Amino acid sequence: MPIEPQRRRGALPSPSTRRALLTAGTFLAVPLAGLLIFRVGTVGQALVNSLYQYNLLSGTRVFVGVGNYVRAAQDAGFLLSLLVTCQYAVMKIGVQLPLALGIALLMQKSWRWAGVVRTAVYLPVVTPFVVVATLWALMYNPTIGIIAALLRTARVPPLNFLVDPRLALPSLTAVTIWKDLGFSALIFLAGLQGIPQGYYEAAQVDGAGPWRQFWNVTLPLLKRFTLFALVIATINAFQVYTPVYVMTQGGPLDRTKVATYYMYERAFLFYQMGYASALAIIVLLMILGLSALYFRLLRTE
Amino acid sequence: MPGAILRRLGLAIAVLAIVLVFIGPYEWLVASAFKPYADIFSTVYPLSLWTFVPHRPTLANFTGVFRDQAFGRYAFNSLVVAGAQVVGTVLLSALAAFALTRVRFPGRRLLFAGVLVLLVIPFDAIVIPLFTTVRTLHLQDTYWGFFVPWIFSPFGIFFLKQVFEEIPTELDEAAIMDGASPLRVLMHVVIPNVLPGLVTLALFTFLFAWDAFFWPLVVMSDDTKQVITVFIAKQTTSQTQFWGNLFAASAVATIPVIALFLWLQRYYIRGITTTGLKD
Repeated sequence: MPIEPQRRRGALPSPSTRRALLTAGTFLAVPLAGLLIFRVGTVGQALVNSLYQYNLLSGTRVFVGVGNYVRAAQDAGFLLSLLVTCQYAVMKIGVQLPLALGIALLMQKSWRWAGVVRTAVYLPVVTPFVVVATLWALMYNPTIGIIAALLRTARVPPLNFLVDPRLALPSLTAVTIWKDLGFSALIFLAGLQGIPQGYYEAAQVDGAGPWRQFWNVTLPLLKRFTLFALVIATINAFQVYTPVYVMTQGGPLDRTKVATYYMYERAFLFYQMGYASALAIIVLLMILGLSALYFRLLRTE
Repeated sequence: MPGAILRRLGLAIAVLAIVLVFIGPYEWLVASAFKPYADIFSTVYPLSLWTFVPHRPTLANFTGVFRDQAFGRYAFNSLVVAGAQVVGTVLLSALAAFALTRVRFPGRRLLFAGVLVLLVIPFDAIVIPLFTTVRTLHLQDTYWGFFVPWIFSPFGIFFLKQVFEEIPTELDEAAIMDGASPLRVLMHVVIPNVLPGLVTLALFTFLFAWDAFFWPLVVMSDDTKQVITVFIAKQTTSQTQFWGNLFAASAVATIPVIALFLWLQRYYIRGITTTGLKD
């Protein structure tokens, strides 16, 4: 061990402990100071701000206790945005995770197309979200968009993807699934690669076909990775913002106005920093609550 | 066996569909970026070869976006900010990870647990106080404001701690016997042995910084100092009819990250599959 203090319980720190503390302090001073200011401090401020009526524009700052939380519970706009977020999350996760598992199975096969599939599904993951949203807005565009052209070729009546209130949220969800699919697939791939080949061989000896092997061997052994993919996808779904800003600005008729978009409007359009902080805390608690629920479900099985 | 043939056919169709759905849009984007304005409309329907290949290739969209809209400036800003964020994050995370893995000081486990807690805090929960903090520090509307809050990275510390732990401490001991200071041990013993890990963190950080949109949007009110993501988003939301420029700008914003990813894919994939997944 490089710098090893001899620790005596109940005694003053030995010279070597003091030296270790000094060394650690030197290395950690700047990183820790930054974390305290920009992470710990901001979480504390978010909690405190949520108890104030705090307007950055007028400079007013009045203590209101849980008033902001009571207001949120009665704010129809916020409640609608939570509903939109949940619809979005259910659609996205329900489609994305099964597709990702299928793609992971294609990537796992030892054939030459595995690399092609991996690179293809990973391009959107590394592309800036703003570019992905812009590209899809152009593809959805009724005048110059390739999707409109494909639909016309297939003799499907024109669809106004981002303007039709029934289509806007599903159209937006398709974009974010396209972007995030590769990431989920890579999580499943890591899981698949950890399953010993012997399990499949044993199942084969027992007469299980590919389908039964998938249900009885692959899926149960992937549970930990499925959970991880589910938690990441849920956290991301509750934080979706960029594509909404770029593609629909929350419209049409607030049909794509997700909770984060509503919160940012309160904060940076109306400068209601206190109320927006309360909304942020509510969304944070929902994310943490869902994650805890997933882990609990996993443990009880 | 007809079953085996059907299976192969099914797999081939699946791969073809994946390639079309995931690479097709990029092909259309790049092809459209090289089309003259009129062709963007006229070649998209009816579908033909010229939908996907520029019939009369031109650089007009690129000169338009770079000369008339000063796009080079935003691209430069993005590069500088992302570069600074990479350097800052790797440097500070390495310092912290060194102390956490190589110096046996009381309380280091507790400290690391604290860093792990910070790891799970989502951006949305802190962005409002972060904005007021940056205002208080007079970093608003400066380049510093873009990246300084992010170089203190719980993820970077967590990631490099995992990486540093892989390196046996016997190497440091030999250096310490020779009278090397902790800083020398970090620079001359640990760093040379963890270069792949540092590259992975640098790549993650670059992609994260290059993708940043909401933070630059709120922290920078001076449009001439903005980054490319905000420029592109503002073009898209303004319902511009200059689609050629938008195609060109999007293509330019995508090229560096795709090139980096293709070049360093190995590091990227290993980074994803080794962080936290295999504990």
